[in-house]
Amino acid sequence: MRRFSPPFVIGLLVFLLPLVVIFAIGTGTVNISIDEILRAIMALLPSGSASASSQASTILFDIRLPRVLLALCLGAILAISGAVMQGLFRNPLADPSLIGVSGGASVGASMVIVMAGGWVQSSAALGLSAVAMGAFTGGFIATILVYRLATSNIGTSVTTMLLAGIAIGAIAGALNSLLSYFADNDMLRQMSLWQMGNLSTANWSRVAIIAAVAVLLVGLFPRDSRALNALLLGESEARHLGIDVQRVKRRLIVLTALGIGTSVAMAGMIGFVGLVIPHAIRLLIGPDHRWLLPGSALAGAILLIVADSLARVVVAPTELPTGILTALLGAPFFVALLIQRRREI
Amino acid sequence: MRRWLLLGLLFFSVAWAEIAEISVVDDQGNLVVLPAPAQRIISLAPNLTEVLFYVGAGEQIIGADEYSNYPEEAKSIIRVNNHAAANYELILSLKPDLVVAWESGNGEQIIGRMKELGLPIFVVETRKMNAIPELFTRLGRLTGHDEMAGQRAQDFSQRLNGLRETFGGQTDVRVFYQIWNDPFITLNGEHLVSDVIDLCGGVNVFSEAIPLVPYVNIEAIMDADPQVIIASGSSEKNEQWRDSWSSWQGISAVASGNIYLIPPDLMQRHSSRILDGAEYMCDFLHRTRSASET
Repeated sequence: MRRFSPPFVIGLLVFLLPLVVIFAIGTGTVNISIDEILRAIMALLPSGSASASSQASTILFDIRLPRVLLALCLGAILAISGAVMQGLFRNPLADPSLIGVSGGASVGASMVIVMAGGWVQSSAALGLSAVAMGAFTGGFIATILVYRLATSNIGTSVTTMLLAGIAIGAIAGALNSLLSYFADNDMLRQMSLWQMGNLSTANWSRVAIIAAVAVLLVGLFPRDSRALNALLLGESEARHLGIDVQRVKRRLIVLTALGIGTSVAMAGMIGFVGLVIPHAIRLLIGPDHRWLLPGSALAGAILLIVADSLARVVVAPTELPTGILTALLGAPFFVALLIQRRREI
Repeated sequence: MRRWLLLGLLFFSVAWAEIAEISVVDDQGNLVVLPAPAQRIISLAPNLTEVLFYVGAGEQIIGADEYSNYPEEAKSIIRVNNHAAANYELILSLKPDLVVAWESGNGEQIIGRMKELGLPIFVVETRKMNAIPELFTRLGRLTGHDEMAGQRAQDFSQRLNGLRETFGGQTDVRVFYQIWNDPFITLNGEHLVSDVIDLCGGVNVFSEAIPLVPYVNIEAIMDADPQVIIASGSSEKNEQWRDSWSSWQGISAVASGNIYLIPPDLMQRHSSRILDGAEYMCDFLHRTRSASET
């Protein structure tokens, strides 16, 4: 397949992202004219003399903007972590759930919901509920478990890690079902809502946390691009090229667990982005991680923002689960890329 | 008209009770025929257990779902199903002569299986308050408690009409009914709760939404600008949900402090107790109305 030049694609994505953000901020149940948006922005400036209606500015800055930024950060984190996992495991089906973090997170959340009962919602710190903390902790514990299982004194075996991830995932699934068996009505609803994924609870403190993590990952992952490229040749080849494979692995896994753990804690389970976006970008610009990583982050952010905006408006005033739209929008595009590639082989 | 017809039917059926078999149409339109009043009943939903007790058939229940907790006696009945599954083996071994099920609560999977097993099943789906007295008489008929059920139905209708006469004609109040707050989940106009809102002279702001149980976001709620927020669901246990509204002063209900709680068991169970819930609702809407008029 004719590939596009990476700088061109990245440039295009960089150009698209702000447009998509503006589109998303302009979309919602309430119609807010561009004029009003501009006035609301002007009113924020210290020197501004313009005044906007308070409803418009509440909707723009307290409801839509945090949500759009949450989608942006989540999309970027999920997609870039997916790209890193696929590179590290040299497996096209690898996604962040493979290292056990998603399964662990969902068990962590369910456990808090069931064990803590009514106490759950009343303890919120930093906009983070106890459930979110549970999810984060669960995700991290599962990752450490998988990593330990796969690490012996000769290093971490990628194959063992994949299998350990599957095993831990199965245990997590079973624990989840078991917990849901003991849950009462309210707990059940809380668990299932949480597993569906949801961005509507966005607020500024959540955005602050997720943005910090997103900046960290987008800043740190590309530093290992060359190592990931070398790993594509195989582990011993990478070692011969002078790369400390073990340290790279550990670093990438810890960062991924941090990213996915946080995003699952903030918005529940959002599938698809982490698996398919890196593939789509790889098909477009090739497997060089120096371009693949930023490209995935940008495309993931764009897809999640667009999907979430549509989820808010297609059946307004009600909402669709965001996950439905990410798959509906992203999957056909991905299928088209696959068909095109097959034709050219 | 319909009520007279029903009443007529009732008298007719009482007269024939001794010789004819019992036949009643359920809410799916199926004719349920029993040779004699049911003596071994399985109730698959808490609201139906409540109604059965209410019409005097509580003693005849031999199996119930996990959530049947009212009245007190219901707690000791053998548990045969929960939200996800039913224990078909146990149900068969109890040898029921009638199964009563709740269409949207139990789902077609469980109901369909009961039919396959050849059990006589009476399926209920209540969407209007007016349908509740009818439900009493039909269940009374199936269980051999015509007289008591008829009395209960009459009492219910009377209280219902009382509320309707007092509150129905008054100024409309815009209502947001919250069954969950993270994310916000409400009910549309098809739901029985919406009928209660209507009865009390309110308007459900999301009555036009497509799903029966729609998810909405805070922006849509601001746009709808409810004058009163009625919470139910898990809100009973902790009061934190109330504080979470305080950041949205642009909503009339929040600015005026018209945020109330109705215990979910009174409002979301389609049984006799929904009238207690309706009284709360009418009272809260009335308070909101009087506050906004002065």
